[in-house]
Amino acid sequence: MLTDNLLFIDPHVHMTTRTTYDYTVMRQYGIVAVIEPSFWVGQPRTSVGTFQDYFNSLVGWERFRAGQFGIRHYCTISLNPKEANNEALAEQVLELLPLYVGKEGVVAIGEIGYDEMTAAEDKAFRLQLELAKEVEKPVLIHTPHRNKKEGTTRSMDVCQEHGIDPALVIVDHANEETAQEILDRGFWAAFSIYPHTKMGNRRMAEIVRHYGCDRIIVDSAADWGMSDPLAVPKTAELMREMGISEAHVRAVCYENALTAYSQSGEMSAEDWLNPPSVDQRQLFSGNSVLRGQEPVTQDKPFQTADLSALLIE
Amino acid sequence: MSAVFNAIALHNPYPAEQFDTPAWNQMVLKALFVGSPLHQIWGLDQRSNPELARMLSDYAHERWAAKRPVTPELWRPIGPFLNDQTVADLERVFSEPDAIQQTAAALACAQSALPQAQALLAQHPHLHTEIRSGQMTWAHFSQKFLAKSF
Repeated sequence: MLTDNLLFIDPHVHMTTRTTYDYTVMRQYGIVAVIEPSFWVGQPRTSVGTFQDYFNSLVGWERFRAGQFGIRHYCTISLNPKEANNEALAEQVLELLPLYVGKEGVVAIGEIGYDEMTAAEDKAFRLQLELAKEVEKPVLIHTPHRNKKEGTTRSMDVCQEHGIDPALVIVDHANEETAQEILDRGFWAAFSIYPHTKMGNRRMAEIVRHYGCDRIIVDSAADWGMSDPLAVPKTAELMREMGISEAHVRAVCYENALTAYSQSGEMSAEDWLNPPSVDQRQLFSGNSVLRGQEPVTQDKPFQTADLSALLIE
Repeated sequence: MSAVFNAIALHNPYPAEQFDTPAWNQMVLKALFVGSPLHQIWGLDQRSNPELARMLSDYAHERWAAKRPVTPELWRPIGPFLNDQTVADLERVFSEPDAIQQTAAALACAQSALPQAQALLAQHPHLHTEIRSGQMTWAHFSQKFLAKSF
């Protein structure tokens, strides 16, 4: 545990790629809620059925699994930009989306936007913006790794062309080169603390020092790569060490994500401030998350795991 | 993954002959991202274009902001399309004490007829002479500093 008494939200983390061990440690470090955007799963999917099962797991099993370890789980639903380029499949996935965007715990349409800025990506992006408008949900924008600056500008242009209020749009994977424009135009700027490819947390602290805390959001974007599901609490601690005020730390590591995504009507601080007590005797469609352990219940709370124990039995 | 990418992107005339400009530009950027040598891309000089130059300059700025290294090869496709902004990029490269980077910046200046670029090159007489005499070209540069087999 690093920062005492602070609660955290990690508003971009791909928990289906992470272990239960991560959930337990995240909880110990003060993460009370996570948002899992639907994304590319490392290799191209070959049929619409795998998208459907993926969406089912985001609103189903993963939400249950997180809850079993004391973390509230939300998600965003979309066809990701990269896979929009398989146009025949994309069309079927786009038809499927309306079934999911209204489900409990779905806080936005996303991550959508551009990968290589192809015509197919543009088409899928615009159709999903229209869907977001129709169901009045926020939008999570993935800004591209390559040609990021232009991709970021164009993503915001297209949102505005479709008449979407910037206050409903979170522009993610921002950096020093894109932050100013995102904030000037009234969008939320989210920063993914991900080693080597995205932001580092010392740089993040400098950004908060420079811009303050308005409309700035910190996330981990942790997935199956060398990423860190503790990126949000670690960044909070580093920011405090570097002299950023606690109010600003709380805003960028908790409150802003809540404000942005609670516009969906699907997320409220009540969810974790007054949570249902953890009861690991519960089942999801008949299946338990336990593998022989003593279930944690209201009467038998979490024991901090002794991770250094050599004996596994 | 990078083996497959390199098989398409490097030493292969197909992309230069067949890719449209957006696909070509994405391929060059992707090569940078996966750490593949740009000089092994067939047709790199012939297919460079102002849009690619702008994308590469943006990328250099991102890398600088993150305090991450920028490969000197990045300046090669930019050279023929230098403008006020990218000349300023090269001034920055010259201001840092890295001889390899400075050589790349000089080569990029030499590719441009822009007076600011020529003036900048003239501030580095040693490199200017080497380039003018043909002792230093991008091919020499790649051989000398980037020799790596793929």
